[in-house]
Amino acid sequence: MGAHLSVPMYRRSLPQRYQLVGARCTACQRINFPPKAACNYCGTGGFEEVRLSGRGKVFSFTKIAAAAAPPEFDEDAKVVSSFPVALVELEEGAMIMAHLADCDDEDVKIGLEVEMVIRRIYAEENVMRYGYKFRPVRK
Amino acid sequence: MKSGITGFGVYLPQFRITRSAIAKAWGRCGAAIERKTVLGFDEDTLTMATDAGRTALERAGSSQGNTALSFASTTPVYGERPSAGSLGMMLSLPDNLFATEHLSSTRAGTEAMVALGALLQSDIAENGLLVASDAPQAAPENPLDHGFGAAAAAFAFGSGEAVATVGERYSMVADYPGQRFRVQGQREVEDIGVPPYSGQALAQVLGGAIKGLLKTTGKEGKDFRFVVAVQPDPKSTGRLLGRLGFTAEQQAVNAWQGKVGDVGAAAPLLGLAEALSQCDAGDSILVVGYGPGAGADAVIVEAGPAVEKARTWGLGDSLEQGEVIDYTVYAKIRNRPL
Repeated sequence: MGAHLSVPMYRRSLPQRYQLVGARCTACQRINFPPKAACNYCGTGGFEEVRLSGRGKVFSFTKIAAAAAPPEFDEDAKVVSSFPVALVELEEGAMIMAHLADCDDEDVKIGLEVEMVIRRIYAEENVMRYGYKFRPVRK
Repeated sequence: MKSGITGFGVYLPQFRITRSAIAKAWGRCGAAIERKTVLGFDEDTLTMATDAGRTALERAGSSQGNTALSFASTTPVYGERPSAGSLGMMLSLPDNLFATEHLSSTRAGTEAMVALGALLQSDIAENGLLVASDAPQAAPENPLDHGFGAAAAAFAFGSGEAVATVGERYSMVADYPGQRFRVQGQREVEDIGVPPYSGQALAQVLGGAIKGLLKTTGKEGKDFRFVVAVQPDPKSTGRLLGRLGFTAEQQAVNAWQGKVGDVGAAAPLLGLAEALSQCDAGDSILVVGYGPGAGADAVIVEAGPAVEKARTWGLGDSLEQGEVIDYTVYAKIRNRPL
């Protein structure tokens, strides 16, 4: 089996998966995504919720072969042979790791402007898990 | 009608398949398409709905509470599960929204548009979001499947400056068994495939809805800038429209279907988006939704003072763009379990 995220745990993360809800640290003003108990950058614990825009640039990327991907992606692996995964630097400064969507491997470059979309991530026991991916900005 | 259309968006998946790829797989392509859209491996009618809905809401600007959501599809992801719960959260809609779902027929798009209009007029809601998202399928060897595509269209309604307003309507129903149906639990649509029988249904029901609308409103065919109608297929509908007196110029707005495919309940709304992107203020559009088996709505949409905003909101370059896939990838996507 793969990572097995229970449905209630998955559900608790929907504000992040659907709405990109992050937490701005009231002390150092930096955005934590996903939100945590203590700020990743300064260690303090006061936050205000902020919905991130979903616009950003590819900071770094890799390609995960389907055979090396977790079993949650077995269905997708029947269609594609690898998954482009990127660290996306959002315009608010936060860094997100996500699959890239709608682009060929050759098109992925550091600096590529991307935007957030909601896609199927995987299904477990007929419960579809949706979440964010990033695609090249559509003009 | 206090609420008008304040923004709209269309969504086409990235994948495309060409007529020649389908013909190579089956010996011939049984649908009058050049190419068509195909859902990505990580897409479904809910994700498409979210994309179109987000675009519509962004273009409409901010809206306050008291919202209604009308969702239309013949292929919702689940047979039983409220789409509004997911859509509402994906689109950050207020949690006290009233939602309707329109399923079971390719007429669902216009049905949802009329229903939402009625909700807005009756003060159940001040703001509305109409989303139609569909990805029909038939058996791969069935020529019907050769023309089936995937797309979504969404229209935001509110009290801001109107891009368009939805007006009078006339509907018809009749029982015509054997026309485009699907048993519970089946993914593939069937049809007994008797063209004169389908033609008879079309003339009685779709034709009847148009004639009824013209009679009750006192309008004539020439009063409309465009007639949006591609169901059940552009050829047979086009012939009927021609017999009813609509010109080639009025029907030209339906050409997109040849590059997108049959997108079920979303078809009339995609067509409306295309039409509005070409209209001037004051133009009237006749939007016709048809569900074989059978039911039809003929609805008048009038371009409002803000229709200029919509020049870039149609399908535009997306018709020619996209990533072309081969039949093997197409078959694998069609075959997935959920």
